[in-house]
Amino acid sequence: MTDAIPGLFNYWVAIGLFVCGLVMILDSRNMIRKMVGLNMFQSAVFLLFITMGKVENGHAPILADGISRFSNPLPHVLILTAIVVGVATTAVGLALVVRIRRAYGTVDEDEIFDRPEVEPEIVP
Amino acid sequence: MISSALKHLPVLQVVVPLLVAALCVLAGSRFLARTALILTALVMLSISLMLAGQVYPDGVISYALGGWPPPWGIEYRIDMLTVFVLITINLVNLAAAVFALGRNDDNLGRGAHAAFYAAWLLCMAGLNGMVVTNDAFNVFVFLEISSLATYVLIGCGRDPRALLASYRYLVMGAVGATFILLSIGLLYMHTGTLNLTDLAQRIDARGANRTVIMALAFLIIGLGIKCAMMPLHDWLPNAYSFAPNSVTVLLSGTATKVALYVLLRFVHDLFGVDHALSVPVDIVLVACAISGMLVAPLIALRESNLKRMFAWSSVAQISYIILAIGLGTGAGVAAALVHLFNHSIIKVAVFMAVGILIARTGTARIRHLGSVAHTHRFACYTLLFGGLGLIGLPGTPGFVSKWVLVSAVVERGWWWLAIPVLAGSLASAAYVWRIVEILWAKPADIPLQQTRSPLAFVEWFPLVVVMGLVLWFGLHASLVTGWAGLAAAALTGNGS
Amino acid sequence: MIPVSAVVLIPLLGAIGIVLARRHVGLRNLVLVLTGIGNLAMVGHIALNLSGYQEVQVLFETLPGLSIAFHVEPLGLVFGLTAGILWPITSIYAVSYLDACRDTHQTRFHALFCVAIGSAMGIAFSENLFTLFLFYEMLTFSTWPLVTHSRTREAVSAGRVYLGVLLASSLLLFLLAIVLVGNYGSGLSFVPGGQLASTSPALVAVLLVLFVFGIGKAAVMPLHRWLPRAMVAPAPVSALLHAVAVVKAGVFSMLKITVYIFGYDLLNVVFLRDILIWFPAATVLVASFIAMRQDDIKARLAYSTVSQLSYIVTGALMANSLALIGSGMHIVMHAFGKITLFFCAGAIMICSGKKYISDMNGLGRSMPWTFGAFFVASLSIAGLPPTGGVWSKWYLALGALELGQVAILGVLMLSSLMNVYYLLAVPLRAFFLPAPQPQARLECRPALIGPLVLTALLSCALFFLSGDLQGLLADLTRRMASP
Repeated sequence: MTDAIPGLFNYWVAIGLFVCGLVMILDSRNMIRKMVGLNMFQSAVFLLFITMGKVENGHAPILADGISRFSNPLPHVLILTAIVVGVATTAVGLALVVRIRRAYGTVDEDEIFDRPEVEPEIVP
Repeated sequence: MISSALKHLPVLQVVVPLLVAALCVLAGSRFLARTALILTALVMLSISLMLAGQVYPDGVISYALGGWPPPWGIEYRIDMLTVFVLITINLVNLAAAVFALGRNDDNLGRGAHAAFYAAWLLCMAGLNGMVVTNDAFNVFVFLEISSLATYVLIGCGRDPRALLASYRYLVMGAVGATFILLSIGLLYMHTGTLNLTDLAQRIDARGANRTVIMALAFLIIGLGIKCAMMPLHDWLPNAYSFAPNSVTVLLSGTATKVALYVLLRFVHDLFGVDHALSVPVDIVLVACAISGMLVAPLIALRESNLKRMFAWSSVAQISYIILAIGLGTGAGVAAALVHLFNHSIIKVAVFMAVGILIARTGTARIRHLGSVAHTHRFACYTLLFGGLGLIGLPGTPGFVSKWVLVSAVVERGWWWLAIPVLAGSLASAAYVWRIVEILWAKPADIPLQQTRSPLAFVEWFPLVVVMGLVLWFGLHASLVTGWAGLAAAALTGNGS
Repeated sequence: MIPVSAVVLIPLLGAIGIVLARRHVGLRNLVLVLTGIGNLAMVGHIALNLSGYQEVQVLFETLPGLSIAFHVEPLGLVFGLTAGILWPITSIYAVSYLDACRDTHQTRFHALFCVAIGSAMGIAFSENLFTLFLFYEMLTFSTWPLVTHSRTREAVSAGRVYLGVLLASSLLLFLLAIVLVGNYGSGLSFVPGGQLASTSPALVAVLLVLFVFGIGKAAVMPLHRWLPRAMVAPAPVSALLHAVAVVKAGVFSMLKITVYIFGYDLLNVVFLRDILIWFPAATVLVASFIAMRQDDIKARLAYSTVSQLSYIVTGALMANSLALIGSGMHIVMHAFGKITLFFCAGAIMICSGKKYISDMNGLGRSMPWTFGAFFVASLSIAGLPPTGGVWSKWYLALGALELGQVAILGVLMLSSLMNVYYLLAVPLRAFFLPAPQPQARLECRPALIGPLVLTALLSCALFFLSGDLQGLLADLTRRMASP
């Protein structure tokens, strides 16, 4: 139990980031801040993956003389892919925000939803 | 040459749309992109059917991607369940692709069409990939490919609110996907493998501990978002109602269905019913399902927008599938698959009819649609018959689903669950009949700028074909239920 | 040998023919009448060649154990013959009625009418619960546009009640009961002796409750509300559908289920039956009371129908062969009597514009044929000679005695007395009370009067023909005794 904080240090960081990101997604009204929160949220999971591949006293997995303990390379590879996916998500999200700003003139969700509902009655 | 191509069918199912998507962007021409879309959709459906032909005698096809043998390499694994879902989504894709050639209600500028169709193909590549792959991380990657394409497709709606709907779906979808990633990470921590079959065996051998249970919890939340399980359904109504008509048709029959398939795979195959049920997964799923099948129709009843009303109906119908999954029995899995197929074809027909109606009358507001049934007979009658299917009246596929589901419920010993199921159909009857009453009996209150343009071939043809399927499978359901039974056997056989 | 399903397909094809012939009124009406006659010929053909119709005809097999299939058995034949005979007569009446109303949506009306009759035929000859339920719901949906035919606000709201009560009861209770039978019983087919012999008594009791209240078309209180509301429909609809096809489909289903799903041996040992039988018995009485207080002629007839339907449900729950014969005969006798009454009500409304009974003083002298027919039909409903109604009530009374429930016998008798009072009052008032002002002769055109005189005469004829009917039903009771 005494080990819980220093021994599982990486988990605590991941959990902290995870919660911060989630709160930011849920709480902020600004669409760009939301995207930032989303990235933090994802980073937390990436961190968890990467630290889990670390083996104590393990070296980079290169076949060389005198090295017999390797860190697990697979999580790194997976996270590389996940980072790419995350970047793509952010890009699409920001592109949408740009379009929303063009259409509504703001990136604040409250401002958009507080407007009286202008239902286009008849779409041409 | 041909025989070697036949061996590579599992990967072709994914690679073909992926490549054609890239070619579409390069070609940049609307005509070429459209032709490519239709041809690819045809090829994809043919591949699914050929895979079915191969799997039926052999049982299982295991395809090692790049020649790396499983469990180290990525494995594509085709069994009866996989082909069932593949055929369903590729059939829907073909119908929606043809329908997309008509009036689409989108805001695409000149030159954007090729990109639109490329996104469409990417979406299908991702969905097909999620179905064929047997690798947990691969599921995540394909999920994100299809989701990103979906956000783009939804954002193409004419109404500016489509952008908002797309953005909100993006945020929720990304959170969901991250949950799934986290769950996969936890599973990898526990077992050290990503191959689903291998994972299932190792979890089975080591038993469930807290890591596995956490993984399961994150997974259910993540997939619950993607498949619009009741408390996590928030994105769906707006996404469906503001997306271009053809995209709504596509999504209603594919995206949520594939998420449900993955849920089915993970809950039953990976965790095995025993482990999944050591925590009350069944209670959670059943509770969400009941709330969905009772609450969603009531919201649909008060909805003022035709498309969003049927989107709520989708939330309700998805709940039936989740209920069937939550039963945790072979009959439950079969019932889930039967409804997965039946709901796909019914909803595709309904959304096509809605699309035609909106394109002709120029409005989706229900109260403005008084008496349009007299001028737009074809769309309204298909809407009516589709609606009867949603209620689940005998003679429609909806009845078959409900019959199989209620039988599974009774077999599980939870006969009281039949009551919310039937109450749900009654609630669906209420919202369907509200529309029917307005379409046929309410006097037209404002003169609509109706376009009397005759129906284009690409509009009526896919609708007639899908409607034919609906009629056929309403009366001859043995093929669907029989296949679903085989698929369920493949799944529950794998898990143990 | 023509397959049984022809009896369902002829009306449905007729509906298509009517829609196709919508541009030519004469041709359309010809198609309508020919369809009716063709259908009657088909039912007659089956009745005359019973030995050739012993086998089950499977039309579609939806799932294993869940098929759309037809067969011929005495109860269904009785119901099918009744509807088959009355349909062509109603067609003639309907055409002249709608012409007199200058109705502009006759094609829709007649086409849906055909669909409704086809559904009723499907119910009559259904071989299993699934087929029965399919056509039961088809009947509900095909009659909704007929109830709301005028598209007025009142009609649409009545349509909502109509659909609401019928759908809610059938989807929540009836369907649940069918699913339970399918999963716990030995099958969904109708077989003499029933399908529930091996199930627990508690389940049988639950099923009985579900069926009695799930079959909303039988209008057992408190599920009767839709029937008076449905009277906003044009008179031919009230006549054929809400006196014959729809409501009789309900009580017929009830009868068929008690005979072929429960089986009388089982039903007689369910304790709950003795409590449950008081719901229809109370309906018989309460509906009669309400009918006495109605001044609108169609409302009075509607409550009278509610009351008479519960005679049949009570008979079905008595679960003995005498009551079965009585109930089966009452389906026919009440159908002929009530259709006449509704025809008369429609004719009175068209020709004199009157719909309140208190306004009808002295009207009999200007419309002697109409009120004459009304008088005869009232006798039949009340169960007085020389009309067929005597026999069905006689057998129902014997059935109640056989059951040992003298109280129920008393209820049936008391209600018959009230029938005499509230139905015969109308023609007596019309013939013997003085008119407020001297009236010209109002009698309608022969095409309206002909059908109602014909059905009144048939009601009388049934007094003499009841032997054949009794023989047919007695054959059924023998079959049940030795399955």
